[in-house]
Amino acid sequence: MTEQIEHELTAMFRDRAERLDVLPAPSRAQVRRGTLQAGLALASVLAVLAGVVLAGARLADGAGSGAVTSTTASGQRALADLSKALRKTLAARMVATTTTVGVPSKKNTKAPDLGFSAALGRGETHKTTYDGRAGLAVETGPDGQVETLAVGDVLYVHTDQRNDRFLPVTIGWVRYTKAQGTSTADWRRQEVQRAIPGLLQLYTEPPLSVDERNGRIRLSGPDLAGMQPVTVVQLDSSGMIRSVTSRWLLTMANAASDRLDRVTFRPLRGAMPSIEAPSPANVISSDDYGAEKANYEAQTNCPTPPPSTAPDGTVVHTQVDCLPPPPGATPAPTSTTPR
Amino acid sequence: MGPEDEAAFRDFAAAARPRLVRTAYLLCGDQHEAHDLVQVTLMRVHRRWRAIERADLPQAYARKVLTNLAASFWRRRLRAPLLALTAAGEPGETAGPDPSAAYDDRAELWDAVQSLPPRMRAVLVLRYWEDLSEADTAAALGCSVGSVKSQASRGLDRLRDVLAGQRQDDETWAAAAEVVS
Repeated sequence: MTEQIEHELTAMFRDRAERLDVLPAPSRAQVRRGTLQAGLALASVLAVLAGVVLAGARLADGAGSGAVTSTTASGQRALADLSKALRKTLAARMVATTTTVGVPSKKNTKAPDLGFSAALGRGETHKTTYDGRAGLAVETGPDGQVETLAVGDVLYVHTDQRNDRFLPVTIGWVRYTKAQGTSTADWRRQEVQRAIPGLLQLYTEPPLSVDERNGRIRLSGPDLAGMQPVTVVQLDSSGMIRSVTSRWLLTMANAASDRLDRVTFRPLRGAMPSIEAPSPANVISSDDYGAEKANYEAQTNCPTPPPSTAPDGTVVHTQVDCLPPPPGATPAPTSTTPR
Repeated sequence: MGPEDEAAFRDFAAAARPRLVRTAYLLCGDQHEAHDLVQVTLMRVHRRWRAIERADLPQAYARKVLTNLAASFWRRRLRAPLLALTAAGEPGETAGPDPSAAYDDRAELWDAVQSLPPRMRAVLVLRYWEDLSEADTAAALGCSVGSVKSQASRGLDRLRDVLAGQRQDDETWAAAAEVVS
């Protein structure tokens, strides 16, 4: 009997292991970079929320609240890289599919609404698909300015929950390595300020902890069930930009696995034409949201369709028709939001 | 590290990595976590490469680091469930469901192994996947040979109980279905 279970176990291990896709090995540079990060404290990584576009644009064009700081050559390059990466991210069409199971009540979720709430309220397994385009929603404070705060390591931009057309943009983060003889907070401020002046004006809140390991980013914190565009800017020890990448991240709370069983997310590469408009066109303050929404719908001739239910019970929220015209078609004029 | 050491390490990493990833996967049950664990393992091996190469122990050292990291992974998961966040959009990434969900071969046994305590599971993986001796398993886990024997024995007993129970359930259902039909 023991021999039989040993044989079965060996066969099962072999079967499982051989079916596993082993990703290509990381490059030598990646390995060395990781070692440097751990051993020599040379690298710091900061990830910036799309709200950076706002600060970046203000810095770049010299407009804005008047609190703009001078921009160094390094900062200019950083802003250009950031803007480029963010525009690329925000130009992406995407499909997000969530599968929910056994959700007892809609009130149990405070997830941003990507169709989640409709699916979450049913108390049974449902699949919800969002197919649309990214945008930014930034809430303004009483004075009309974007509320900003810097606490801990996480940059945070408040989102406008009323915005049902655009995906929520909520989080960015900063990871840093403490320099000897410098307080952690001071070091971060110095480095970030040197690379991207004005960045610290952004709103920060510490409900989440973010961890980056070997290019993979993990997030722990409360139930978010949302997607965030995050731009990762890698700095070297001198504060110079090493690399800028931008991508969408999808959060799912394991702790709430009774709510969200599985979330898959995939960008549709090449399905969207490039967006030539400057990044501020994507930023919509809550005050302007109603007008902007109407303007957007008029341009695209695409009112928000109601959710539909597929024969298998799948709730589908679709905005496919709202996508920009294909290359070669006459582009719709892009409106900008005055700030 | 000199160029020769670098070259030796690269050769070792290229040769050992696939096997390490598979072992890590069997230890932690998560393909993405497995890649991460192996990456960190190789970084640690790289850091001490000259010493462990001189001792002719790179494989054993890497295995030991990996099992320790896997144990840390389980402790971390038990202490504070990590909220998964899937990064998408980068070329070469393979975000998505676990490939093991696509097939059910020996799924019951796999589930039963998943339910074992981390230490017991590590013993079984090292003994029956890595095909290590009891002494080598003990060395990799930093415990006694007696502990390896007892853990392996208890682990197999538990797997046997689980499978026996499931097979009994299957027979019960089959009999019930026969009666109904």
